[in-house]
Amino acid sequence: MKHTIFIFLFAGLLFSCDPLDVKPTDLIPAEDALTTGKGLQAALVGVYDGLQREDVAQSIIVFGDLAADNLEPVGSRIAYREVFNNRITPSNIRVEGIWNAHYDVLNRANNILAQIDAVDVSNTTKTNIKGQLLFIRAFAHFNLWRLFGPVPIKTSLITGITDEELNNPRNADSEVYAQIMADLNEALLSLAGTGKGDPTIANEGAVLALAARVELFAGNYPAVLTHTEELMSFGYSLIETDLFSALYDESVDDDETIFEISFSDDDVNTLADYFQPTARFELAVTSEAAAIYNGEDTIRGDVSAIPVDQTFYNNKYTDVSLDSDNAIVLRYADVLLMRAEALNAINYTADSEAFDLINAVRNRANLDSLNASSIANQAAFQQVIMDERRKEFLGEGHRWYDLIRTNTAFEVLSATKNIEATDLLFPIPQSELDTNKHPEMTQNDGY
Amino acid sequence: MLLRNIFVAIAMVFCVFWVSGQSVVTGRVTESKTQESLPGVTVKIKGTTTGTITDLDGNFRLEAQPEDILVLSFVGMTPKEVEVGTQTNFNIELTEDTKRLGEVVVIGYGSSSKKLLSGSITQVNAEQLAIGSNASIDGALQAKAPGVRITQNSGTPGSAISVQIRGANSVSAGSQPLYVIDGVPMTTGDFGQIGFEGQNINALADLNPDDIESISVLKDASSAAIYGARAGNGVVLITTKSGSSGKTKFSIDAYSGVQEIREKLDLMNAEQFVSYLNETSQGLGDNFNSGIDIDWQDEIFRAAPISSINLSANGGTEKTSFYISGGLFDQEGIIIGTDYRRINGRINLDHKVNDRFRFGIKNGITHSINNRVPGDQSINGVLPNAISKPPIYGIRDEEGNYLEEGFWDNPVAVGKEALNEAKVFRNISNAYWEYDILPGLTFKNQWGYDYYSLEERRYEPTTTDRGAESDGIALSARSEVSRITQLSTLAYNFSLGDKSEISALIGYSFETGSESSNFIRAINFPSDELQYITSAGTIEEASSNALDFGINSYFARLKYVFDNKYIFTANIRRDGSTSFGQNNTYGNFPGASVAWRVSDESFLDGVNILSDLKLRVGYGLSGNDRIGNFQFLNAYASGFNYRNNPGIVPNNIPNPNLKWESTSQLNIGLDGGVLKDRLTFTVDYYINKTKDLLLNRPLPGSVGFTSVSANVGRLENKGLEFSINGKIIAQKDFSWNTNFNISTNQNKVTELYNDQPITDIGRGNNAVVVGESIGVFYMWKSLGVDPSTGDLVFEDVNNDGQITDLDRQVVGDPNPDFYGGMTNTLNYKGFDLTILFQFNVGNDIYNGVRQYGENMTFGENDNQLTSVAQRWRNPGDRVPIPRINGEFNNDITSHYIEGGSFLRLKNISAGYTLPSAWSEKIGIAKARVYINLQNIWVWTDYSGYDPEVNYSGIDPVRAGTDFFTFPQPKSIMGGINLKF
Repeated sequence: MKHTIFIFLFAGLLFSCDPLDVKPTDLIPAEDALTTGKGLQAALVGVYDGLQREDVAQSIIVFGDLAADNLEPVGSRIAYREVFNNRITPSNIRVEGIWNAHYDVLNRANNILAQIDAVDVSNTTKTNIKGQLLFIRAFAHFNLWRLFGPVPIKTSLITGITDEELNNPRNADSEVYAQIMADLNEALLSLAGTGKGDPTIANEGAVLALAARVELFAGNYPAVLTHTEELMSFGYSLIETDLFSALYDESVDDDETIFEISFSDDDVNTLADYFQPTARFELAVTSEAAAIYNGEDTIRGDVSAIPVDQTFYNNKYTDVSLDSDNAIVLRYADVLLMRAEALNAINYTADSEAFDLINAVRNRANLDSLNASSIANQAAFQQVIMDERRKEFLGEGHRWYDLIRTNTAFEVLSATKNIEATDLLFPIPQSELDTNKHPEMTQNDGY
Repeated sequence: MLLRNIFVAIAMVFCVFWVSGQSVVTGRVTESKTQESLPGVTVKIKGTTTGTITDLDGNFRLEAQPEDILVLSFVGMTPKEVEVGTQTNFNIELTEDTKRLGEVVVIGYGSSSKKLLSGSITQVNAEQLAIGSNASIDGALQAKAPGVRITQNSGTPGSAISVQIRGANSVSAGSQPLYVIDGVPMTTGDFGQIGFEGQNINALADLNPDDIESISVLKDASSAAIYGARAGNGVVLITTKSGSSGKTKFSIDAYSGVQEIREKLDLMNAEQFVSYLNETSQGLGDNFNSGIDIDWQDEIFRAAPISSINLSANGGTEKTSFYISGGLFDQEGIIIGTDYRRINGRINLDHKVNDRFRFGIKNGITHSINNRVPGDQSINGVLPNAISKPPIYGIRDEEGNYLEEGFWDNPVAVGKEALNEAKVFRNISNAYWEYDILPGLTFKNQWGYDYYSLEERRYEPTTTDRGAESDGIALSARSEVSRITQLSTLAYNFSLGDKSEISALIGYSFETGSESSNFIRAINFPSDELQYITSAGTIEEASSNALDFGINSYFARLKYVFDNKYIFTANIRRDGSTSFGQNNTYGNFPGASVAWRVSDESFLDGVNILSDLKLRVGYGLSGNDRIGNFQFLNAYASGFNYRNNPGIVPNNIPNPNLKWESTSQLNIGLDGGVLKDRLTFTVDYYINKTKDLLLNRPLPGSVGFTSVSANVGRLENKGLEFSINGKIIAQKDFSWNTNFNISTNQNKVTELYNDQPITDIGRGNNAVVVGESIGVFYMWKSLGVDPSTGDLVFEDVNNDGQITDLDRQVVGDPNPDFYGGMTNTLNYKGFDLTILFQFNVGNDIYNGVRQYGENMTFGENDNQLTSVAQRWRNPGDRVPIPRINGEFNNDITSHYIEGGSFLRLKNISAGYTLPSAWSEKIGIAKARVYINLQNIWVWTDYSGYDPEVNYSGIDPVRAGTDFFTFPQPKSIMGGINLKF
């Protein structure tokens, strides 16, 4: 009966194996992914990874200057030309990209927020991670809101391809604003005590600075004062004059950066490629913007607008070999200027704190202080703030949003461009309109 | 699960039956005229139900008493009775009963007499496969089977060939059939990680066509459904040769020859180019008037040797038989830097332990080395650069160093200096044992192991332009695929009464497999002598991946034959796969067919001219499971890092309903024979409807994902196939056989997501559009050159006065109206002559070479075809080619679409077999010498190298585009066949 052994061998093999019991090697089933603290950390990293997407970290910066009057396209990207000409088509691939990438970030964050309570980690860790995610959620909603106007709010994760989950309406401005502030307020509580912290992750300082920016955008000036006042006690300071260009060098630590999206050797930030004339050079500084430095403001001018072949380039992003420049989102000079703007908006007071704030930023750039004799009234002060912001932040993507929130975009840009009133909101991407069947998912006027 | 346990129980019960038979008689049944063995013959003891059926070699074995009488019966044969007596071993001959027995055809998990088939199956045997001395089995099948469209995508040695059975049934999940070798599904496809576009490696190329006994193509779903979720594109069953008992027979087949480019493109020489440049810009040409005149095509094409030798031994005892072979194939490509070398070995052993118990192994090993050159998509490809580089630039300077002048890299440097090596090791083995529980009731268990290892290496030295930029570039990649298959079947063949024959089969199988790969790219090497990654200064990219997968299957078949006239077959398979979503883990795939042998009806008794007539109808459901792995899963993906910390992100919207694409097929066929089957024919008509096509369904970006894989589309294929075989002359000294087949297939996409067309696919702007064939060319339709401006003008479809994206339309179809082949074989005494034609009519080709070779847009960068001499020069010129720098010259428009119909003289071989009286004196049973001409003539209007071209390989959507694609060579070979 020696054959019997042979038979049993095969029989045993038949029994031993369930061929369908196979697990993927590069994917973690969702039910296993967020069960441990390690998984939770990895998922949090995944959300920050979303911020590195070209259509988040880079487009927010590029469009902030390109749609306004700071940058002009000199390369081959048609999508950039449309933005510069304020003739954006709803199928613009980069505009669609901004939309999709921000909702991707929102989905990544919402996925964790929906499941975090069940994860077996300490409450301290949970609270901290929640705070970071709420900050990022507010940041993403805010970016969408200021570009597209009323947008769908996303606070839950998607579970399947049902009509209910796929088709979402645009929420009213007031709802979007309320959601952003609710998230930031909760983030503030969750991150209490983190203070200044590491600028490459969200902390209390980042939340306050973003809250100030949102409130300024909403015209809620007293709230700007509250947030900036608290922030100013965290130990941030302007980087020294001599080191101004090092602000943009990620190898130099500074106390000015409040929040930046970090890029390492393994990541790709194409800003340097697009800005540097030795590389792909898609984006040049407009001659009009270069002129504002007027040969005097050399500390900032030498970084922001350098002449090359009858045009100018911005030198804030330089790492063309490894593409690992960090993208600064919030920094202390912005906080000082926001506070000055809010103070002046509430009440113009000659040579008050608002003057001190603007002078701090000017002095750092080796420029003289201004006083009430040269800025006589509220309107003049506001104009100086706007000019100062333009010089300070050229290449950092503030200009368009500053013009939009001060309701000056149409007036200012009409001087140099053929812009229409309806161009102030970007078009909802055609792909969204084609697939989102909610009756309240409508296109912005003028498209 | 239950079924599986039943099998296990059966397997264990066998030990109870494990006893030797008593008073056993054995025998072999042969056909009286040909002496060929007869499988499937019913051998019964008269007056009882005890009996058996002869195996593939015509052998039978059963228990009988000396007083018993054996009754042998088989369709088409006169029944015979034999007394047992004291004899225990019989050689019994059966005689043809007016109608000759058809061949035996391999079907899923078994075999059947061709005359008793009810499905649509085409079998091509070794003899026909041998026509044309092909390097691969799919090449050997080309033009020989109706309904099977085989396209040699390019001339790259060892590269993938496209095989489509009855049209493309899928947009994204592949249109290639399932290949099964000796019963075990095999790994096919391209696992290369270094891109060569349409010059992919082909895992099927590892089989030696000389080892193949037959290839059986299951075309309709009623036959193929027994392979379930993988049978949607048809199934190709490959059977390797096995030994037969008797004297050991040796065989040597060897040939050697040379290949060349069939026809070069007509490109400008230096004088023409300089004068053309002067016309683009006055004086520009004169700057280049250096006296150099290089024909770059001559520099990269060459006369390339090809040779093959195969040795085999075949024999055995009554208990053990063997087939052992070894083969060496060596081909240089007609483009410098390309070659393919393959070494094969095979051992097939079958052993009979006793009357009831048999086992065996089949084991094939292959090692191959393939050297290719960068593909047609690359701006440093050898052929694209040779076509595009103007004749005014030199190859080498006086010191022998390569010159790098002009826009295009020096193709000679790329071809000769860069290394692109792909090494394959392949082992396909399977072992089986089978046991006859009762006469006619057999349990078979089979295990298969298919191991494929691919090692790719590229090195671009500093002598090439690109290599110099990075101080040497090296890529190293390794891929491994292994697959284990278990297969158990229980088959029962028996008779009910005198007229009913029943064969039943149930089976269980599972497959588990894994793929793993790693990849490294490095630059900055200290010397071109040091080409491995270890010497590199900088590692740019490194990755490593793995994938596991599994399939679990149950299947059954019942066949009922009444009076050899009415045939009914039904089968079903239940497949579970790790690719399917949780809600659809298992799918059921049924098939059924009926056939009526009209010629055996009594009312046709008087019609002597008709020797065979059979009507078949079949319907079945099959699937395509190549929908990607774990796409349905609610999962997080890795590799999303921040600050060098590892991160994970939600991978997709879960789609637990994700499942196979499913194809239903109705087949109606007619088989006939006249004049004692001197002339036989087969006609088939089919309608294939595929639904649940896997497509990316676009989603609103606001949900966080832009698309999800979903089963959303439909398409259909309808077609008609016809083949005819004739023994036109069959005399003792002179015979003439002819085989002709022709097929049509009409493909139509019937539904897409929201019926949105998918456009701008590939280099030829292929598209998937509802109401059209898959892969149609979708672009502006050129109306010719405007005599007043010299620019191309296009049809303004929406009449808005502007030419925009909305004016694009379907302008061509890469799928042919009909295709086929014709083989004529003549024998006169010792002389033989075989002529094989292949044809393909009604398809279009996007000629990407003309888009660049006639666009007259890039000045001194690009050489041009001499056809640009017919360009527009002055207002009023009515010419086919637009002006220099014409506005639309470099756009993808119908201006570059051409008809792709062709008739190819694929093969002529002429041989002479020495009279056996001579050869036997030197101990040789058969000696034949022959000469073989391949691909020497092609009738076509297509202006490129070769109308049989797919730059993107087997992709059914990016079809019919010629983009600087490596052309097929013509060749002349001489060879010998020896048997002793």
